[in-house]
Amino acid sequence: MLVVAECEQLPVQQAKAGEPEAWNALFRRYQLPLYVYVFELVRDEQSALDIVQETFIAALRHIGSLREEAKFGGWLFGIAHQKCLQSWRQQNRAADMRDELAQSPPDLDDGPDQVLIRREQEEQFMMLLNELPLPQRSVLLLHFVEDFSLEEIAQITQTPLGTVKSRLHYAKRALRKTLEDQ
Amino acid sequence: MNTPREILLRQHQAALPKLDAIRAGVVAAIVRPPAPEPISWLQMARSLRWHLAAWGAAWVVVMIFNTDHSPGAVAMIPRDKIPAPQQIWASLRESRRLLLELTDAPVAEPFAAPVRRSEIEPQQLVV
Repeated sequence: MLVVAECEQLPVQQAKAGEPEAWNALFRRYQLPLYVYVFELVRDEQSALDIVQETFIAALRHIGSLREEAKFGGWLFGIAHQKCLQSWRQQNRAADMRDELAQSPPDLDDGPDQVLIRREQEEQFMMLLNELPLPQRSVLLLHFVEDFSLEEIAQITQTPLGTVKSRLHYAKRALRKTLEDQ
Repeated sequence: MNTPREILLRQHQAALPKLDAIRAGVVAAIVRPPAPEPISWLQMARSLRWHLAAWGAAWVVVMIFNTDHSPGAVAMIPRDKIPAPQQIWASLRESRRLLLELTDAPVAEPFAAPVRRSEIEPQQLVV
């Protein structure tokens, strides 16, 4: 079952109290979306699994720093994002992250928010995703996988809100163009 | 038609067994905090036995040092510092008078303290 509940009650408070069952439920809820996000950024299965594991361990250690329990998902993805940055730095791929786009988007009219993709377009979608610059790919994944708000994405990636808007705008425009050309 | 999320999650579903193993390993390492057990009075007293013993010993020492071993505490006061009985009576009378003045009560005649029989001069005695 791939459907992820939108408004489920997460046992964050119990996890803060150190209950293993609560952690198990939280990790089960986020393990696949987290892996998708990390894998699509690092493009290596073993590295992605390592980062997911490190993210889980870091979450266990630093759960006390989480102030708003409702933002557990964003907080967890923020840890994973930082782990990805560390991985890139270790592999000297930080230059990719400096691929900054225009700070002020000329036009943020992205059309309908929901993007639907036909079966025959799925391969092109995945190819496009891989071709996107890392910053755009990161924002688009967070938007698609967990439907984070722009503010949450800005917090996760520690990027100004305007930059997030710009990146999402260009990524979505490229995606639509690809899908329309098919 | 599928949403990008559905496509992405389906693409990586094969990783689920490995993710399950990672999750199980991390969760297994969590040490559950011990549940607090109800403590009986006996257990509490037993756990505090050394504290209680130390307090008891401290009180015994304090009592030993506070015990007066001298022949008499009164003997410590110099004789010349003890006021004469007349002085004590005069002081009491003055205090009574002040008290009556404050309470607006009629001031009685000063109370005449009886003279001690030993202080009566022999010529005053009527035979």
